[in-house]
Amino acid sequence: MADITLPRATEQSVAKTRRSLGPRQLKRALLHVILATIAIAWMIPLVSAIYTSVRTFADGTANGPWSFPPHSFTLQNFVDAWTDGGFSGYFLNTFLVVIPAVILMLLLSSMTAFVLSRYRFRGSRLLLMLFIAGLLLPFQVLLIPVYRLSNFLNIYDTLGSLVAIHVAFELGFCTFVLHNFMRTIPKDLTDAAAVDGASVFRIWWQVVLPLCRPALAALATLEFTWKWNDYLWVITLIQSTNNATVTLGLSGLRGEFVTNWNLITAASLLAAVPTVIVYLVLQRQFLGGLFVGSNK
Amino acid sequence: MSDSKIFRPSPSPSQVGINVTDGKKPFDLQLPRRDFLKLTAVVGGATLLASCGAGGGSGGGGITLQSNLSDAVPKKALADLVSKYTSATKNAVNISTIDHNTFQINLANYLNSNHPPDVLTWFAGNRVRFFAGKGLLADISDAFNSVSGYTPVLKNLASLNGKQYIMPMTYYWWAVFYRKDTWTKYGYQAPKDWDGFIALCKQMQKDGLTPIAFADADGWPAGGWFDFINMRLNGYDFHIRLMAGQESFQDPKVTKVFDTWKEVLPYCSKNATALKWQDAVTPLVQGKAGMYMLGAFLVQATPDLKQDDFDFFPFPTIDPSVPMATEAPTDGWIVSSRASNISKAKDFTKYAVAAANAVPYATETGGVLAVNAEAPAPTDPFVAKGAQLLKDSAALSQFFDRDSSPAFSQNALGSIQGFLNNPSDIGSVTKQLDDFMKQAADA
Repeated sequence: MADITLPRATEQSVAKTRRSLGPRQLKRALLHVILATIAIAWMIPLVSAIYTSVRTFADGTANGPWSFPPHSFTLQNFVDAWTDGGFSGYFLNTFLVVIPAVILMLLLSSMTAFVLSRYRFRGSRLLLMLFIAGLLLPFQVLLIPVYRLSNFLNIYDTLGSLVAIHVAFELGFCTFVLHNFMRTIPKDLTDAAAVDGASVFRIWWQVVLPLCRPALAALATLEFTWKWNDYLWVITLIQSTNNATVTLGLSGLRGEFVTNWNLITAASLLAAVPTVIVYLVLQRQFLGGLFVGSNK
Repeated sequence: MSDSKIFRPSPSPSQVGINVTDGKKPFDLQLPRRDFLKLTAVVGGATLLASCGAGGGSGGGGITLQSNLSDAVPKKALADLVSKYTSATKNAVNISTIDHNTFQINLANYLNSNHPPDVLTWFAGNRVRFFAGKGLLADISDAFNSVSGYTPVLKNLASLNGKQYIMPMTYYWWAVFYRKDTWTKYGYQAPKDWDGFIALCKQMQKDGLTPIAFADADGWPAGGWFDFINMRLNGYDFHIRLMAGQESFQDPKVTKVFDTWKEVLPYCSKNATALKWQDAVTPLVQGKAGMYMLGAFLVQATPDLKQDDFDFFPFPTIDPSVPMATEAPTDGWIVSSRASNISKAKDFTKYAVAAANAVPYATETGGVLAVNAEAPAPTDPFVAKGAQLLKDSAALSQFFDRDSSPAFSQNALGSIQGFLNNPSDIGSVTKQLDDFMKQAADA
């Protein structure tokens, strides 16, 4: 977004001083060069991924990954990834993990954040601190305890175990963000509702939650992307490919001896589609949400 | 309720309405919002229920098989083997393929879990003894002993304290591989001994080739070089004792291994420690490199060439009085000690390793041989030559990491990388190796 608005602003100012050939035009040219370079640099990985995904494996090994024009063009890699690679199943599994996880973590954390931001009670501060302290814990130290716990609870190698750890793990972060956002909602609103006889639960559901839409959307986008791309918890808690998510499925395409990069890039591109869609759908809220707490 | 420190004095509700919700009054949103939330709650609840249900049902009547064969060709060979087994016995087998490295890291997790897979792919030798010693593997001696065609060497590889824990299925050979076309073009001949090997390297360099393709970013390819030079200089028995921690790496015999190794380093690919082993295959295929000392799986990495486009010669003799030993890593099946289906699992492994089933599997995979002594001689000339090499060898080693302990080999391969980057400092490398061996023994 910034890429587009920035040069426009300069354009207007330049229009005013068009006659005077000066440092402004030079500046503008320089700006364009820099922006174009950065944009191209950002595009290289994506373009190369797309380029690789539409070529055959034999073409890549015989002529090198960058040979142009390509000696082959095929969409078979996408078909193979979806059917032989088993990605249809992995996609379903990932949705079954990510959607309930994101909804649950937003519901639960908005409840905690609501209570912690609206009510003071003995230990409420400590409770908030606890949630924030959880953010500081490196999650690597949790891998083995969580693995053991999942066995103890008999949910190892189930999608439910992934939902549980995602919700539990992200509760701290979501509570922290929502708490900060809810503090910006004036007390008068909730007080008025309380005067009208609304219960605590109703105030949360009907007053606070609708106002939190930008924050919820931003969190939903972030969390969806994070959870969709999660690999570490998946390899820790899942062992059978029946229950594998896309990231585990992707790694399963890597061979010990031969790795079909064309197939893998095709599968990676497929795997990236849902996050792109979610981002596009929630983009407006997301941008709004990024400014959460930036001004008082 | 207490006061909010941030909002004193509070703005009026109308002001706030504009700030927070783009000019709409907050309560205008109530109804659609509520419906939306209800909808998401319903969808979320439904998918959550589904996700809880989805996992539980894997323990049914079939065998669960955890495989590290993530390459396309072996993966298909295994799938074919399994479908043959299923149609013969009506036992369903559910294969989960995990990429090779992830599998290796997670094997302990798989075996320790509440519902471990029944059958898993694994390596014979010390790598299986490590897990057997922890009680994670089922004693499958009865199945092992019912297989005709298992040699005493295989039994030793599968045994811990007289019991067998792995059903060996295939092995492959390490040698110096080259592309026939390149060699015909320049008229090279396979060298007989170390001096001939060096002379050949010199000639290749003169012809503008990289004599030896070599890549060691992953650490393990250098293990093959160390093993071979040590076995050629000091013999198989010394090598095995060394890897078991019964000899010292600071022994002058080991220093001599590194000194000998140093002689060929100038002929190896530059920046080897930055390259993956596959990266060094490309110059070999393109005819820019002369040879590559690696396992026979090298031919799997070149989908455009047939395995008969390649040939190989055994690692050259250094001391003619030392009998020839060859690296022949052996792979097979292990059964989890808490498998829900131990008898069915054993039944599957017996079926898989029988010569009639292991041979088609090995042929389809390419570059591997069935270990079963009853297997007929391979018809493919390349594989037949490999089988002959193994038959001519006085002893078969597994590999650097498989003949030592996991704790030792990981560190050790790292310090060997250090030697490759700085070949002059052998003393500190051998000392490090001894330290790592001690650490591994203490752990």
